[in-house]
Amino acid sequence: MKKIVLATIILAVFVTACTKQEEPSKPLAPANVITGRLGTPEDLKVTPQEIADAKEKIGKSMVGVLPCTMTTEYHFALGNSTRKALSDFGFQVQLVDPETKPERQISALENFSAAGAKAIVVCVLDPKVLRSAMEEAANRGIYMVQVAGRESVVNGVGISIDDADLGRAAGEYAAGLINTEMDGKAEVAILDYPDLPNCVIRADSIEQALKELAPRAKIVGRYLGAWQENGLKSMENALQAHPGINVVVSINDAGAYGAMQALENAKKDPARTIIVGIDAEKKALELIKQGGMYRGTVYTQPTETGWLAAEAVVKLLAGSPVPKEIKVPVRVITREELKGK
Amino acid sequence: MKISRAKVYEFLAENGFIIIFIVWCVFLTTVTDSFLKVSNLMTVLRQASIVGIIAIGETLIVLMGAGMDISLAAILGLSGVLVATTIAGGFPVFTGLLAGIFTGGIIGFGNGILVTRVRINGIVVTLGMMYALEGVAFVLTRGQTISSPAMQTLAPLSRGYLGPVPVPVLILFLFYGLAFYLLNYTVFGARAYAIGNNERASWLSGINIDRYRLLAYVFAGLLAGFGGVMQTARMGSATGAMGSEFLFPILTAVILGGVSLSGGKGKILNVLIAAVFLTTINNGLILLNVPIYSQKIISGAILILALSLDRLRNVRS
Amino acid sequence: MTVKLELKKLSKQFPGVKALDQISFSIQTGEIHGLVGENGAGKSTLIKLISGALEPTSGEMALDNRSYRPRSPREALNAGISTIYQERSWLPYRNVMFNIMLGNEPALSGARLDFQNLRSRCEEILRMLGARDIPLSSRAEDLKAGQKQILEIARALVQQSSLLIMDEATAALNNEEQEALFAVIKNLKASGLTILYISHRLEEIFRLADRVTVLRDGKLVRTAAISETTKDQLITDMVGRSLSGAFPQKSQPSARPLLEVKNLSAGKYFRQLSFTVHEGEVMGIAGLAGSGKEELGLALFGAFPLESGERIMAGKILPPSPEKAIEHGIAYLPDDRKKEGIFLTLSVKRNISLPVLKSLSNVLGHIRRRQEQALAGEWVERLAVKTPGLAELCENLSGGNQQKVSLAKWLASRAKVIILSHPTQEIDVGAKFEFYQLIAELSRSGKGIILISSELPELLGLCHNILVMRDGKMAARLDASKTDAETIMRYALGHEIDVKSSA
Repeated sequence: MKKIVLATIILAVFVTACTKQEEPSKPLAPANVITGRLGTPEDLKVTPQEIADAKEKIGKSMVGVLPCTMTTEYHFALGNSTRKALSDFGFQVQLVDPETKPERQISALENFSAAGAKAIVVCVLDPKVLRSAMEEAANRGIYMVQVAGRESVVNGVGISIDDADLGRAAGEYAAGLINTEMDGKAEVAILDYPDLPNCVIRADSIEQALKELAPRAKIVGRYLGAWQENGLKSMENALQAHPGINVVVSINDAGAYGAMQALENAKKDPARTIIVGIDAEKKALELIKQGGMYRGTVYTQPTETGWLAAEAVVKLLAGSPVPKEIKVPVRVITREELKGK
Repeated sequence: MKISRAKVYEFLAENGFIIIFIVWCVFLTTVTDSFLKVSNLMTVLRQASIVGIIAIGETLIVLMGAGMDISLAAILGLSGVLVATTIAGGFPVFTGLLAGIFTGGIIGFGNGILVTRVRINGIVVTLGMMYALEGVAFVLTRGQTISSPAMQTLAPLSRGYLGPVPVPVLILFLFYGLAFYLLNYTVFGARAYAIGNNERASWLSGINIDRYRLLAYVFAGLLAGFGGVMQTARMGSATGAMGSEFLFPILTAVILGGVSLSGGKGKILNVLIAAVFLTTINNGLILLNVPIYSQKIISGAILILALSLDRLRNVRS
Repeated sequence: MTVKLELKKLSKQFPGVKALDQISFSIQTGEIHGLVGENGAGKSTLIKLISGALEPTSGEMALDNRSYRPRSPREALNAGISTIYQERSWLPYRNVMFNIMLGNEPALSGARLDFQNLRSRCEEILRMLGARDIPLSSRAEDLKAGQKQILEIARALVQQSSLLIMDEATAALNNEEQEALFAVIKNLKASGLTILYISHRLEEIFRLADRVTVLRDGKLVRTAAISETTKDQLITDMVGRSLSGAFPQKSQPSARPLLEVKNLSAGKYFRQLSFTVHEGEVMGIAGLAGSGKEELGLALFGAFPLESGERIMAGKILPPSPEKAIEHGIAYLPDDRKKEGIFLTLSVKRNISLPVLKSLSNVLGHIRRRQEQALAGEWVERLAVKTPGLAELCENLSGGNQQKVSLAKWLASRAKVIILSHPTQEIDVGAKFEFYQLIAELSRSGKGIILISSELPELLGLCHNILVMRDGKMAARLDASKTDAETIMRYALGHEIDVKSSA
């Protein structure tokens, strides 16, 4: 008997608490997006009027920022820059770190919705997993800006470099070096990370570029990278099976560091070994400047992407037309370029 | 002397994974020509060293029936971060080493006190400690990698050789030798096993159970701290998440090595073999050129096979 | 004679219960002092006070005329007092050497084990105990019950104590092992050890002890020399009332068969057993360890694999499963009640109702609490189970009451044939007699009872017929009213040809 009374009380409290949360809010107009052409950063330049309109529209609500993770240089830079840019515009910002777990992104989206966010900037870890949560948010009228990917955009815009572009650029650069310095022949290892689809795209593009542009180079395998320890371990083991590996192209710099350690431990000649990474992390730039095995890295413009994301939020809130997909260009940073600085 | 079937089953349950290990090694040797090379074997042992060393500490805790320490990987991470921060900050290498190891010991002590004095369940305590330590590590690193040229002074700890043997491998065997001696030839070891076998009988025989368990947690913390030093030396840098991937291998090595989770039973050398076995799975799959997408499935299958031998423990004729 | 240990007005208060009230007596050096009392009389508490596992609320102790107040088992051990407890105190996965040396591991320079010393001391002690045949390297869990007991005594001896406390040392031993143990105890006394010996079995006390102390409800009733008292007197002291005519009157069994057993065989355990149990009959099964009687008990319940033979009840051949046995009305009380008989962590109520929960619940599986309460309450009252309430966990009850709960569970399921395996093991005198009354009552009401026991007086006092087993075969079938303990023993041992007069 006591238990029933207690349960009823708890239930009553729960119900009243829940109903209190439902604040009737004015639904915002659907995103004013232009399709049919690929946008550029130019399309996102904002005017002071737009900024004022946006702040009026958002009122007291906040903007949510949901990066992929905050533990790698690229994503950290992207997340941080987004947050800073948004608060510079005068918005209330909240950032949640999902630690590379897609399930956590779902809960974060739900929490942002419940907290009344009017716009969310998100770096999607896994489009399939996040699809329904994003559609949910869109149905509630929340504007979404996807960064570091463009295919999952709903009720908003997507800003990114293409992972395929990244992979291609890295592969192209490596192929070029193989052709000029190694006479077109080399044993190549690609560092991959199958858990995340966009990393797989990068690796696929690397492989494709190499096959097209350096057909006589032998790709001995794709190994687990993405973190320094993995890169080191994989390369140590790979060298046992293929001691002749002299080129490594990695989906990110972090994994490449590890591979580089392994190659150095194996006493490879730096002049005849080539490592190319992606992300343009500070450490990678240092290594490239030093003139050793590390030859190049692809700059992904995380900071710039963050600014662009904030500008996109302003434009969406202000109702100005924006292209649905905006592509950020990539470029390879090479030793020559850095030596010049 | 007739050997009963029950005895055979028990032997297999405790040591059967070694048979699977040997089969796996033979397979690798025949199918690839790089497995049995000295350089590969040294690579495998080197990769197993950190997990192996920390597994010693975990084994001590489990043997004494003091639960399980889930925070050891996080201790490694935080200690590594502290070592890197200290050295990158200009302090001498030795100070950095001490900082890492000492921190491990203190955290181990903290864990131990919470378990033995405040009497909170070991898994609960160390789970919470793990989250706390990971958080601290992230705050200290702010998502960045901590690295500096000064950290090259640690390099001999990871890349040095004594003859053909890499330093980490030497350390691995040295520690296991000490652990073996401790558990089988000293009063400490005899009592550690006693506590795990029958806590009440041990107490009634005058053994101070809490003190021994506290020591186990401290040892484990120190070893994890040392593991952090070694990993930082290997990486030449430290990140906030550097410890996370170690938890699973450490626990697997202990369980696969036949240490009974209820305490009192288990051979330390089997844990060493288990740690090496785990490493050869990864190494072997790469040598066999198995695509990374399939690697997880296969290593999972091998583990299930090896672990299922434990089921023989409960077979009734 | 000097006084070894003196207790002066020793009391121990637990919240709500005064376990010991002003206990004063002394144990003399070199004697075997018996300590008896029903369960709950305070014996265990008294032992724990002496051995340092508990501290007294008031009162004092003096050891060798010096004040003695141990604050931990370690201090008691250092003072020269060793205790062999009732509960399992061995290390199952460690070998004999480590078991004996627990807490006293000999060490060189403080830390390293001195294996040579360890080995020789263990051998020496085992030899002294007449147990040379126990290999030092075997694991404790592989030893027989009697050998495990020897280990505990060996451990106590290692501690070089001057006072040894033995709590129910013979509980898990069979007859031969008991005899061996008595010889050891006599040797120990001869070598100057003082022994405090606690036992339920008064015959043992009379065999071994010089003096005896009786506790009842936490108070000391009497301390006397063995030569100046009798078993009946002790029982009266323990129970507070006279219990002469210990066994209730036997009723007349009917001729209607309940359970028919034909040619039951199970490999090396037992072969070609046939007998019939009738309504209202109490059939005893006697035999030494290894005779197969325990396995027979399980087989009758359908819980032991059979090679051939049948069990027939109400004209139907029973399939070999306990579930079917229960359906047909057979019940089984196992001898290791803690492991197999009751659920210690469940309440009294749930223990009793468990086999018949289905009948107490509705179609959806919801248990009708009021019905369960009523059923359990009825049986608790009928069997006079002493418990603070039906919701009390079984682990908090005394051994005798646990056994009653075990029995109640089966009675509640309306079993027709009840198999009891060593039912009064580790139960105090008073509870035992109550149990005997119950058995007599059950047989009077027409139930068939199969009593497997090693206690000959019990078999003779309760049963109508006694089957004696030896090496898996039925050595004899005796009419209980026309035979005696000696005859049963002879059949059990295989000496039925010669009439040997007991020493």
